[in-house]
Parts: sequence; structure tokens; C-alpha cells
Amino acid sequence: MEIEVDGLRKQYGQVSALDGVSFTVRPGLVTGFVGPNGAGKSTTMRVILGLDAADGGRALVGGRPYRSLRDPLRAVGAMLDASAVHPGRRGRDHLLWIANAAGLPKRRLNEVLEQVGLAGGAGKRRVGGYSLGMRQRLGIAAALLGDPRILMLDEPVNGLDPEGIVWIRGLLRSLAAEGRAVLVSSHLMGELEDTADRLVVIGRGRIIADTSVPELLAAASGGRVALRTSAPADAMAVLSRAGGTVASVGTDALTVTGLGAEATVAALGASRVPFTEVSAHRATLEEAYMELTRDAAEFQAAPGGAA
Amino acid sequence: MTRELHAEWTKLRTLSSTAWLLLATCALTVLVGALVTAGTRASDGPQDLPKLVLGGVQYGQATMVVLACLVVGAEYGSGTIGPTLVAMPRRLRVFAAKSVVVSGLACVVGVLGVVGSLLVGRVVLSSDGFDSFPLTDGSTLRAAAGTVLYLGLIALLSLGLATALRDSGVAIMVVLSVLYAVPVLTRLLSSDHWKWRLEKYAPMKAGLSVQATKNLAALPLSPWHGLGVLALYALACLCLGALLFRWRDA
Amino acid sequence: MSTLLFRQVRAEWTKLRTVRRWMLTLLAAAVAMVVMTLLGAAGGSVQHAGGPGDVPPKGPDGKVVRDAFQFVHQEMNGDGTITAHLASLKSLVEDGAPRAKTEPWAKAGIMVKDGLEPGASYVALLSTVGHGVRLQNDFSHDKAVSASGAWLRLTRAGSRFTAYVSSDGTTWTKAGSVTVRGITANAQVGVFSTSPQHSEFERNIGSLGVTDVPAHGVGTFDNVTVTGGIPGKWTGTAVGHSPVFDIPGVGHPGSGGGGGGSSGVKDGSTIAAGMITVTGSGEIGPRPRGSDLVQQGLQGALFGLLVVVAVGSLSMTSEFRHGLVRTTFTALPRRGGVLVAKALVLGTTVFVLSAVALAVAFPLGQSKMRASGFRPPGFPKWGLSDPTALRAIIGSALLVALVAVLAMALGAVFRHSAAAIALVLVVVLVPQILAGALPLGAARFLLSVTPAAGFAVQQSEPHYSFTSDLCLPDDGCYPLSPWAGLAVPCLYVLGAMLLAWWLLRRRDA
Repeated sequence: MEIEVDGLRKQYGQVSALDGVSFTVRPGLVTGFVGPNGAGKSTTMRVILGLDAADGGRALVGGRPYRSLRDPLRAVGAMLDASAVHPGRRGRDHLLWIANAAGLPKRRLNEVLEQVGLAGGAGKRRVGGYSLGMRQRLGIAAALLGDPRILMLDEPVNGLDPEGIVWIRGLLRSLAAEGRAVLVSSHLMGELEDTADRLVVIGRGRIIADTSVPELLAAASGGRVALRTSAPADAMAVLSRAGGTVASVGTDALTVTGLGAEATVAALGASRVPFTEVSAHRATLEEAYMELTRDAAEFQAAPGGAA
Repeated sequence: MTRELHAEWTKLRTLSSTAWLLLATCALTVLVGALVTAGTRASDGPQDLPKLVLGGVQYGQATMVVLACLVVGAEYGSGTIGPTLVAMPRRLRVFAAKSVVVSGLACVVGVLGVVGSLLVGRVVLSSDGFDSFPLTDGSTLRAAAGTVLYLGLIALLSLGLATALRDSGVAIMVVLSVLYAVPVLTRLLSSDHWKWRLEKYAPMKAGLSVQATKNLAALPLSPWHGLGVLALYALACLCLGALLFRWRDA
Repeated sequence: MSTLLFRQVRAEWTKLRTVRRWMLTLLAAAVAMVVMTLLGAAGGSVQHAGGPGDVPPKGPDGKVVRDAFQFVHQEMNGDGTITAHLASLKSLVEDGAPRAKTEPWAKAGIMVKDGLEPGASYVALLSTVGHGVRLQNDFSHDKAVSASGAWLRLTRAGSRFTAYVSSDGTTWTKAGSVTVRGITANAQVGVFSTSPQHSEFERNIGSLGVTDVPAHGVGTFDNVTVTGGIPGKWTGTAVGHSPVFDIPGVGHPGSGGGGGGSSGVKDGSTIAAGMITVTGSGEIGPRPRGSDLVQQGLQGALFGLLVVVAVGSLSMTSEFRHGLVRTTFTALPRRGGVLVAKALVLGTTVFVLSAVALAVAFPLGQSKMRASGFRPPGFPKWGLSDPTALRAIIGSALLVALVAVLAMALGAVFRHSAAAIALVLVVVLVPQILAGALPLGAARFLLSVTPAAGFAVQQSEPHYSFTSDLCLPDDGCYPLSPWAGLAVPCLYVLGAMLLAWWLLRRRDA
């Protein structure tokens, strides 16, 4: 079972929230859905779940619109907003009504509470007294309740402590390993670096990348070469002549674009310019993401400010 | 629709405010009815006794309105509308389930309140020096059953409006204003013609004409017609709520 | 302190101003006030035969009054004294054969009056069937002076009138004195008797049936002496119409029976062997509560109030719901100050808005009502320049503002808009409805101790308790005087603010 999103468009007044969003979430993989705040991640997920209607395009779950599913909770488990719980209700009761809505047996409550680490007394307490992390776990428990083929989690890492973050990464991986399709959104690429198999990057309502993690990194590295030399001025002159674009990034450090490591070494050797280190530059996922979303960020920090 | 009903019933059952509001509805109905009855003396002249005794529902309905508005308003307030519609994407069924559960509860509480009011009221009446009234009389039964239905209809009206407005506070304000402000306004109106119209078409006045057992000819509307007017209001609010609930983004 | 409060006020004003929904709601409240005032004023009509002969009398202060009684009088020039022994005072209620009922406000006594025209200035020392001995003058002034006392004496010295009461005619106690300047040297003095109609009420939830039965007061006097002036001859006169003026808009269904009486009792007087018997009917006092055009012209305030309740409570509860309160309290850690600043901003905004809306609506509503028949001479003409109308408008705006602040404070107490809104509406509206169902005493109590008492500020005339007129909540009468009434919601606001302040300090944000 997979999620197919095809050409979604949605306007809020003058603002275009989704502008032709298309991607696919495949079974057995964790798909990371990243983009800056306000890029359209939550809106896309709400449209997939039939909460909001798109102005154009379609979102299908297992080939059907969500609102026509017979047994929606067995198909999709979703957590959009961990705080969307009535504070006056006990945690267990919150799961109970969802189980009743899906016609699930009561034993599932204990199973999922166990699974998310809320077994014991926590389920019997009112949600109003939960910490953010506990609400997050409760929301995930609700998503797991129907043993769904697809999981959709919106910012599941928010409010979790480091231990919780490790736990959720393991959980997502194991769910995917069981052959489920997992869609996880985040506005921080680093959170997904070790978890996601595929990445869908969204910015200003448009998909700007739909790729695997290694491909993305390679693209972001762009064949740059880092060079350390005691004679940067000579090196710059030689390499420019050889056809590279050279930028100084420190007193004795340069980056070279457009030549590749081998050609760089050859050019420097031919001109006898001394160097201590030449290495292919490896971009981090964070850098790649910043590169991609630079123009797409809704809230751009002023130049000089911390981004 | 069983699953939707089951889920909505679980939601209501698992909030302690539900029990308190239901209890308050019942208690207010009985207590205010007894208070008003106790304040009336036989020497004050002839009275419509069942109507007098059942008068407490005018105040008991306030907490019922709060409950009905919270049933949907609190979902928007706390955001559970999201999980609700993810778990039950067929929105009209959800809305119908909510209506059934809320009006059902209102009727159960209404029965308790009405029976309590009648029993307590008869005791109070005898101490006031009134001749009591027969409980099984046709018109008394109509007043009693009508009062129960009245409470149910008020609950549905509130539910419909709260769904349309998506905010329990604002919905409570609108419903209570419509119910209570219109009678207050009626007192001050200079025109008898308008007074008559308002008495006839104001939801509370019209609906409560079902409580009358005497001088039916003098009423602007006959008992069942009056309740019918309220039912039309409730239906209109429900339809509005259902339409918006179905077509609007959650 | 002041700069801090100023900063807090500015912060709160910015918060209120920048939520477009609230500003729109407040504007809607203002519009609702205007529209509902006009609707309330529309459609009314009054049938007033309206010949010049029907012009009701006006008292010394120009207000419409009731002045109808049987008077046995002679002229007294300059200073002097009148003394009389009220041998008996009976109330005759024309209600079937067994005359068991009495009208407690049937009265008889001695009077000095500036001529026989209805509405002329007067001073009277009178005994009532059910309310003791009272010293009254010029229709709206009353003082209970004694529980009983059959011997009555009034002494005039210039414009100073002194009343004495005695139980045996020999030992006199001073009961009180008043200064009345409207009585010329050539005054009429004598004994009088009268009785208002006897009213019976059938009150039901939401309905009121009133039956007025004609009634007469019969006073029998002996030992009537007048000193000063010229010893004259007693003359009997029926002052004014009887029993009441048909003031349009006044009187209940079923009223209007002639004072002449169908059961054979006739108003009049007999003088024989030093005994003067006076039978009279009517009332001496201010114009009864009828259509209060000022109150009717401010009905929009009620609707504005309802809308404003929502804004008031949401302005507080939304802070809790969205966690904004943490930001607020971090930026301005003095929580009490935040509460006061919120109250000031909300109260002032709502007050200004309501005052403007009502000041716009009031003249329009009045001219509408005048057009449908509520016009002089039967009704006073109200404009913005009348202090009474101005008081009612300002007071109504204050009331709306107070209720908004009450909703805000309760929002801080409950941290839940539904609870705050429901509670405010219940304490403001339900007493007014419940009052129609409860016994009069309980109803008046309810309208004096709940915030609903504040609506008294809309009344152009206070309720005078010394007449037979009842303050019926069904007629929109509030028992307290205007400002005392407005003080009641003030106290509630104060209480709610203190509670909110205490809870805000105690609870975690």
C-alpha cells in the first residue's frame, strides 16, 4: 500500500500553500518530508488524510481517496498534532474512543501503550498533566492503534528527549522493515539523516527534490575539492588557468569547483605549487538542504543573522 | 454507523465534565421548578400547575446548551477534530452520531428532570395549599413528554450552531442569547404586535408552549405547534452544521 | 509604577487591536446596539385620543403627576396651623359583597395646597391604611414619620411647614418639617381622603395578569381647626379626575373602571356636627411607571452586551489556550498589573464604543418612537441634552463595559471561555427572566443582588415606593436607583478581579 500525491494545489486567499505537489510514499521505506516552516508539509498531510480539500490534484491512499476508505485506521495511522488531545481525558480513554471508532479490540490499547512506553500509570492520568514528550508518545500510540500499513507522522521528534529521539528512529526503521510505508515530516534535515531512505523536499508549496539520501548528498557536493596549501595565491592563479573556479575559505584553504581532485593535483604538480591536502568535499545533509531551500524559505533571516 | 456512535459515546463518557453538566441540568430543572412552585401561593389565583412545576427547565437548559456546544466546540478547541476525522472520515456519519448521542443524553436527563420536577412539585404544591393535579392526565403527559423533547431539541439546536461556529464559547453565547435575551427584550417592546410575534416565534417561548395545559385557546401557538416551531429551528441549525461540517476543511 | 502600568496598557491595547476578529466583533457589537435600538423603537404604536382637555397635570417641577383626591378646604392666608383628629380611616374595595379586601395605600389626612388645580404644590400629613403616617409634598417627596397617630397638625411659617403627631390631642411630637416654596400666601387648607385602585396580580412564568378594582378611602375627621387667616367656610372639591388619569401607556389590562363606583359608593364629603367625612379615590404622587421611553430607547445595549461578553472572555482565555500567557508573563512578570491593564484597555474600548453607538442610536430611536405616537403631551420628549437621558446612555455604556471586564476576569478564573461566557450570561440574563416567575419579593431581591441590577441605570424614573405602584420586573422595573444599581455589577467586577488576581498569582501560567 502506498501514498500517491499528484499535482496537489491549494490556495489560502492570495497565498498559494500547495502549488502542484506530487510524490509517492512507497512501502518498506521511510520517506522523509522536509521543508522550512510554512512550506506546505502539514497542509499536504492534511489533504492526504481528507481533513482539508485540495483545489486541484489528488491524493490517494492505496489507490483510493482517504475519505472513501472502509477501514481507514487499518490503512493509515497518523499523528498530525500531538497536542490535539482533550486535556480532560485520560490517555487511555483517548485511545479507547479511537479504537471504538475503528472497531478494534481493547487489548490493542495495552499493546500500543506498551509499544510507546506509556504502559503503567501514565495511561490512567489526564492528558492535561502530560509533558510534551508524553503527548508525542500518546499521539504515536494512536497512530499505531490500527496496525496500519502506512504511517504518517508530522514532526514526531518535537519535544522528545534524546532517548526518545533514538527510540523513534528505531521505531520508524523497524516499521519500514516490516514492509510499511512511513512518511515522516521534519523541518530539520539532520533529524532524518540516519532514518530516511528517501527525501521529499518541499519549499513554498513546490517539491524541490525527490531523491534518495546519497543522491542528494552527491548533488550538493557538486564535485568540489578542498585544498590546503602554503601558497594560496599561486595555487589560485594556476587552478584558474586550468579552468577551475577557486574560492578562498581560510588563510591556507581553498575550494575548487569544476576540476575534480585528480585534475587539481595534476595542475598543481605541473606548476610546482606546494600543497598539503587535497580532498573531495563531502557536503552534509544539512548543507544540501540549506542549498536547496535557500530560495524557498518562507522566513528568510536577514543577512549576517544566524540562519 | 455503530462505530461512530460507539466512539462518540466513549468520548462523552470519558470526560468528567459531561457527568457534571448532566447532573446540573437535572438538578437545576428540579430545584428551580420547586423554588418557583414554592413561591406561588394558592391565593395568587388559579395557576397552570404542570407548567408551573416544570418551569425549571428554562434554567436547566442552560447547562444542556453548554454540554451540547462543548461536544463539538471542544473538538475544535483542543484540536481532537483532527484525530476524529482521521479515525472516522465519513463526516456526516460522525455528525449524525454526535447528534444522536447528545440528544439521547438530553432526553434521558430530561426524563429524570421532568419526573423529579413533577414529584417534588406535587409535594410542594400540597404544602402551598393547591389541589394537586393528576399525573396521568392527557395534558399533563403532553407537558411532561413535550418538556423532554424540548430539552432534546435545544441540545440539537446548540450542536448544530456550535458545529457551524466551531467555537464553544461563541456558540454558547449565541444560543443562550437567543434563548434568554429574546424574552427580556419582549418585556420592553412597546408594540404589542411585535410582542405577540416574538412570543410566537422565539425558540424558547414557542417550544415551551408545549407545557401549557390550560387556556390553550389563548396561546399564540398550540402546544405541539409550538414545539414544532422549535423543531424547525433545530432542524435548520442541524442542516447548517452538517453542511458546513461536510464541506469545510477541518 | 505608572510607567510600568502604561507599558502594560500599551501591550494589552496592541494585543486587542491586532486581532482582527475581535475588533470586528466589537464593531459588530456597536452596530448591533444601533440596529437593535432602532428595531426596539420601531413598530410601537399608541392610541391616544389626545384632546387638549386630557392633558395630564404637571407638578411644580414640570413632571407629569397624578393628583386626584377629595378635598374639604378653606382658604388660609399667610402663616397658620391646621389640626385634625382622624377618627377613622377605611378602605372600601369594590370587589363583591364581602368587603374583606383593603387597599393599604388608602389615605386620609390634612393638606396645605397652592390652590385647587391638579398639580399644584402641596404639603400633606396623612395616615395610610397599611403604611403608617407620612409627610409628603410635591408628589415625589415622602417621609414616613410615625407608625400611628390619629391627631395630625401642620404649621406653616413662610415656606417652612412643620408636622406634629399626637395620639391624644394634648401631647404633640414634632414629626418632621419640609420647606416648600411653591405655595403662595393664599393657600387652601383642609382635610382630604383618597385611595388608589386595588390591584391584584396573577403572575405566572412569563405572564402577568393584573386586575384593578376601584377603591375608595373614607376618612372621618373631627376637631378640625384652622388658626391664622380668616375663619372661613368648608367647601368640598374633587380635585383632579378620578380615579387615575388615562395616561397613555400606563395602566394594566382591565383597568379603567370609573371612580364613581358601581356598588353605590360615591366620592364626596359630608359635614355635620363638627364631623367631616371625606370619601375619595385616586392617587397623589408621581406619574406611574409606564412606557419608559429612555429605557426602551436603549435596548440595544443588551445586545451589545451579549456580543461583548464573548470578546471579553476570549481576550483572556485565548492567552491560556495558545500559551500566549507565558509570553505575556515573561515580558511583564507583574501578573496583577497585566490583569489591571487588560481590564482598563477592554473596559475603555468597550465603553467608548458603546457610548458612541448608543448616543447615535438614542436620538434616532426617540424620533422613531415620537413618530409612532409617543410624543408630548402624553410622553416626555427626550434628547441627548437631558441629564437623565445622558445618564442613562453613559450608564448603559458603563454597564456594557463592566460586563465585558467581568467576562474577562472570569475568563482568567476559569481559563475556559465556555465556562466564563455561560456564567456571565446566566448571571446577567437569567435573573431578569427568573424575576418574572418568582414571587415579587424574591424577584426584587434577585434584581438587586445580581449584576442584572445594573440595568436600573437605564430607567429615566426611579421607582417610588410610597405609591401603590408595584415595581414589577415584568414591566422592566428594576428596584434600585440608577447609580446604586450600577454599583452592583461594579462590585461583581471587583470581586471577580480580585479572585482572578489571586488565582493568577497562585497558579502556574
